[in-house]
Amino acid sequence: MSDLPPNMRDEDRVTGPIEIPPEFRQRSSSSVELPGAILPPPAPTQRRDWGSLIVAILFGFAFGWDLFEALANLVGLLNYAAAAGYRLNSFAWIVLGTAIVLPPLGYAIALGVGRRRGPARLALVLFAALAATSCASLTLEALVR
Amino acid sequence: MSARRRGAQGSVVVLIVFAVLFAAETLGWVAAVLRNPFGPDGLAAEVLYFLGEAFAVLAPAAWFLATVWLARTPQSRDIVLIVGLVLLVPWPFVIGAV
Repeated sequence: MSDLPPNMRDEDRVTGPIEIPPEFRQRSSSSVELPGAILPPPAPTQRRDWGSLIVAILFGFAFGWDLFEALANLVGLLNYAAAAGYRLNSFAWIVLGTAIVLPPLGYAIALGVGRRRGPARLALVLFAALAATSCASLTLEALVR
Repeated sequence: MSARRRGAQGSVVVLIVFAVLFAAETLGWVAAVLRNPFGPDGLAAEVLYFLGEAFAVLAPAAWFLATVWLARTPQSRDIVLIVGLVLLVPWPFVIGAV
């Protein structure tokens, strides 16, 4: 034994717990990988989050109402302008167009941020977006007036 | 005091500064709504318009809470809070005040 070269001796064999190099560690503690022979892999699709879906639909109505209001404003002003015999200027077009674009944009961004975060967080994000849309439409209204 | 502790305290100070700014925007929206003479005709339209004004008043608080609750890192939180401060400036009040 002692006549072996130093790098072949068994003195530095591991006696304590084995240190696993980081690249071989589990990425997250929640997903424990088991050999396929023991358990089948988990189903790739997760359960549908009905709470989030209901929240999204309810807020969809609110955002939809904002969009409807913006469209009604545009149509109303177009009719008014036509009755008065002149055309809407570019400033009015920009303001009214922005008012139409904002509700769907806010809804889409909020859904993108809040989806997969649970119904409560999704509701808060959607409400923040709805409130911000209200702020924007009040601002646009103040500009037109 | 360790670096992490200092960082946590700095984060709290930043958060308080943001909270004060968002509170100021809330006051601005309150003033703007109180000064707003416009209101649509009809009860239903009036109620919905009032609801929109109430949402505008609640917007800074909602943005602040949603950001603090959902942000994954302090950096992203601060960026989204700054975006909110810019977006939620009470322009009707600012325009009216000038």
